[in-house]
Amino acid sequence: MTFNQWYMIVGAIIFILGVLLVFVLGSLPSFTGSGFIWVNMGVCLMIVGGLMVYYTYKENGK
Amino acid sequence: MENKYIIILIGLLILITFLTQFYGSTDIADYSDTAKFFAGKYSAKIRSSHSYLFGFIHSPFLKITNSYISFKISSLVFLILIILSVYILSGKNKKALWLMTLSPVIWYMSPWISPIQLAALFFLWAYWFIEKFNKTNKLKYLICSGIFVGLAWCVWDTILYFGVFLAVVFLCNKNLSHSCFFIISLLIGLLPRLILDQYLFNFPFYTLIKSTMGGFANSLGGIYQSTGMGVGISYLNISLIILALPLYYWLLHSPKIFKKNKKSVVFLFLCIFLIFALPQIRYVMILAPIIILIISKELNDKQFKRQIIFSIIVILLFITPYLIQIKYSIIDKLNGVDISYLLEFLFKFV
Repeated sequence: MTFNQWYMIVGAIIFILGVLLVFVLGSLPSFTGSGFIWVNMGVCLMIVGGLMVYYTYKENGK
Repeated sequence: MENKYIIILIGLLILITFLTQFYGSTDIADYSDTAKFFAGKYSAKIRSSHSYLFGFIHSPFLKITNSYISFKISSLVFLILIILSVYILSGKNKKALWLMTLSPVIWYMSPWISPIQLAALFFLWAYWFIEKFNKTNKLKYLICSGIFVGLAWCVWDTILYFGVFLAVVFLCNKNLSHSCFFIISLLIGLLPRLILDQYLFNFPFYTLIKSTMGGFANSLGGIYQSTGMGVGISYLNISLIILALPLYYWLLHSPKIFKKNKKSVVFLFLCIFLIFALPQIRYVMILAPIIILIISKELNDKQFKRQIIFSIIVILLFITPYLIQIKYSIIDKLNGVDISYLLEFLFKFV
């Protein structure tokens, strides 16, 4: 597996984790009093994970 | 010629900082009240939740001037030192100088009564030394880095989290003895705060434990979250964080740049992740110099121009409340309001 393939997979995993944080933990407000911390962190993971996949795709051209 | 424009920009920064009546909107009493307390001008019982050291440093100036002007002067001095540090550490890269001078967070933080400017200066050097250690494995760099993290922690409590990320990322593949050296040198850097705490409270770790435990309690649903504060404004604050970050920060996540700066990118990612959890523009002050130090080497001329235009637009947005508060007050807040407050309360932008 090349570095770029590995990097793209890690990016995809981070993106999925972000989606889970936003839509699963973000809807469970009991722990922190509100779910906004999870949603915020999830948004961050989605942005970074998405960019990792996008940049790798752009660089590889496939 | 270029230097002339930089001097004009810094002159403008100084002018706005001194003319505006704004002094900051978060935790400012924790630092201004302690300065008054040490200057013998505070009548109530002091109960700050943060480090007393920053107020202690400013107390002689407060006693002489009888005003908070020294906080603005020190803020400007620290910010100018950050700009110069980034310029020097980047190998006198002109792009880095421009990017740092026109960094929106510099203009945002300039009038604030806050130790973040000083902590950011120390943390920038801590990062640079640990990067040097990572490349050379020379112990002196690690010790310097630890001392600078300790000094930053002396004045600002939140640096603990950034310091932990820095240590974990840069020392994860090193010997255990390196971590011990880092912790010992961190404690050496922390000495001014420990000595002051011992003198004031007969316990050197008093304010460290108080503020860290307070932060921990809040993260588990303390007073702010149980009241619902921050829920509605979180999207607004996230948008402002994204604006405050250098536009091309996100480029660091491309595999090409990641390969060259693996540890730095992971460290910055962890810090951004933390900042997103509790989005406040002032936190970006710690990361912006480090980000600019890295991206200034990577940007081509076209990207550099785009970054400068983006920064100018964001600066204009961020300093608008400060300009208004040169002559007028906004929603009768004692210390004035920043862009977050202005957008949140004035325009109901939530």
